Amino acid sequence: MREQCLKQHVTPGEPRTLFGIGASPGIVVATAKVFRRQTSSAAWRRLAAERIEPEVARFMAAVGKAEQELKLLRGRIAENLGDALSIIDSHLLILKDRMLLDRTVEIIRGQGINAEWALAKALGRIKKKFVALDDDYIRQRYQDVKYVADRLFGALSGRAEDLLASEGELTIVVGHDFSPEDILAMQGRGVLGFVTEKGGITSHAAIVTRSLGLPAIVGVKDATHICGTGDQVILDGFSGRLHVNPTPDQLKQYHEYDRQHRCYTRELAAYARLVSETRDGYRVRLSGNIEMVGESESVLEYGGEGIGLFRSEFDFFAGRKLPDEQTLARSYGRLLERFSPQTVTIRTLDVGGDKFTTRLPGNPFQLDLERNPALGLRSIRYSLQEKSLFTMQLRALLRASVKGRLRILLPMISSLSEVRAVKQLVAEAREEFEREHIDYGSDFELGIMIEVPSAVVLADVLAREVDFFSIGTNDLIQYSLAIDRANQYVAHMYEPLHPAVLRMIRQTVDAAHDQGIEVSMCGEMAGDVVCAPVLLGLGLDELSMRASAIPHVRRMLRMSRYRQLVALADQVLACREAAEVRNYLTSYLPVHYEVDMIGP
Amino acid sequence: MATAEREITVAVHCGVHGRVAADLARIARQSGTRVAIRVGDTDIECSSILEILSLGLSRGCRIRILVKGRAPEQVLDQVCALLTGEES
Repeated sequence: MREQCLKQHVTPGEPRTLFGIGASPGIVVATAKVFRRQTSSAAWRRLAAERIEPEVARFMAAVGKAEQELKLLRGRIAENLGDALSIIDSHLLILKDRMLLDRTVEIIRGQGINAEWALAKALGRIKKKFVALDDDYIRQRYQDVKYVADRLFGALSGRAEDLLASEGELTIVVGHDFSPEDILAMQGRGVLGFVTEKGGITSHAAIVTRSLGLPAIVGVKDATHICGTGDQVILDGFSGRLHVNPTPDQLKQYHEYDRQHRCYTRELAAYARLVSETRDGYRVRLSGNIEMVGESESVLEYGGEGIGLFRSEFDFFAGRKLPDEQTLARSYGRLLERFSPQTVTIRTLDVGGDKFTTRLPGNPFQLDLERNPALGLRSIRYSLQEKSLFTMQLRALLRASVKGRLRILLPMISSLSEVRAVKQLVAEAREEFEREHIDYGSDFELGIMIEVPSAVVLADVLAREVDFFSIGTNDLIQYSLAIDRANQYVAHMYEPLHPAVLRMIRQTVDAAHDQGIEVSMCGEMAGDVVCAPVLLGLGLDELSMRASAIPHVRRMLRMSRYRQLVALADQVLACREAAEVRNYLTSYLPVHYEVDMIGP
Repeated sequence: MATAEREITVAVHCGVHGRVAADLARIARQSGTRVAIRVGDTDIECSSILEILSLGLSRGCRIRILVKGRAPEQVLDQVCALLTGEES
């Protein structure tokens, strides 16, 4: 980032509301601090002979300062964030590299120009070398050089300290984009929330802010131009609204929302320990989505009834080497034991698409070069190509399944042949275990994600072949509405309550229930208190969500009656467009549930 | 001064990118030897991560590693293992 802190108002003081994507929930009110991309350059000067050595000293001091900043940040990052640490380590090496450091000093001395100018020249030479490279991936490493140089420019101008100097002052940081490093560096220094112009809900900024529990909005167009440093802003991470220079009424209203939200959070804690059933005794399972085994405690704390989705990718990307069968089996086994007798659904490797592309150790496929990764070699397609890797994971799962109730979930299934191919691999693994006299479980369930429209259409066929369905709404919405929600231009068209989506859910549930198998939902929609009543009315047997949403949905469930939920779903299915659905719900929900349930 | 050299094929996936280059630079700096890579008629010093990166070594590139200093064989082995993807 290293962007300049500027004060620029389009119309100073005028109240404005900007719309983006609520990436991390919560409401905060504070003063904005705006970082604009640096476009202006420092003054470039020729130096008198006696000014040359002091200029070299000034440059070296900036290097020292940048080094100190990076080391400070490195020290504050937990050791388990291996990727972040290795990024910072390589940045430290670049900072002291002779192509950057020695070369800049040479230019200052040889050409008698100031440090900024000399640094820019040294940088230009490095850039020239990188631009000429054939290897796309290595060429992109120039971004790291740029990042380090920006830090140096910042240190030279003294502006870099702005961020750190703001300690004690409460701010909402607004910028074009923030790297995970920027966010990690700023957190805990009086920063209450983040707003970015770039990015969708799955961007780095969104993921990191969510994991830190800091409210954030992403994809707010022109935020750095409309909003100025010093403006008062309300950041509403629930609805994705940013109120700049709010009116006194808006402020009062949001302070009240905030107060209610806090009270409500306390009240909700009680729901963690209650049964998931309606007033008339209709029961469903509310479970948690996790990415790392370590998150399972928070699922239990919020009263989750098992794991509805364990995304297994992190084990594969955490280290420099792929995990082995033994390690995976042990880790899965521990998770199963922790939740037994409740079920744990482990989704097999889901790489490709927009996540986990280049970093898989030993990955021979150039996934990052795909023209259209969402329609490319991803998920189950990748696994069926990389059979030895996939078989290793299947073997680990089978071995772990003796420890509890395992459900194996296959992502991105689009045809029957894929299911059969996996079953064949499972059968082979079993035969091998028999030959090798290795203990393995046999009462696990095998299910598929319903997230590609073709799987919905074929749900009746697929239901005969598997033990359960799990609807992945994030991808199902993306593929059926043809919306990439990380694309800032169309993200607003991403609509979970689109009638086409609702009909697909109904069709999937009906096909599953006809064959007597369960349907779960593990997309973000499942943890949304506005959508959840509709989903329950549509007949889903399990809703799996981030742990903190479980008490919200359980509270809603316990205030409902089954027949009323079914009637609601029927009403909503009769709607012709999403706006109608939302209108209906906004008049319906406050009548049937206390108003504050829906949140601000 | 003892020297050792060996010709190898880069086998790390994704080529010599950030982490591998950083590890190589670290080995070169900490070993007390002079480690160089020769591609064609260009020699670069491995103590500079940027020089390593700017070679743009993709998987499959043929390169020659040259090590000069004390116990060069040991350092050479280490570097070759890193670039052929055999390191632990």
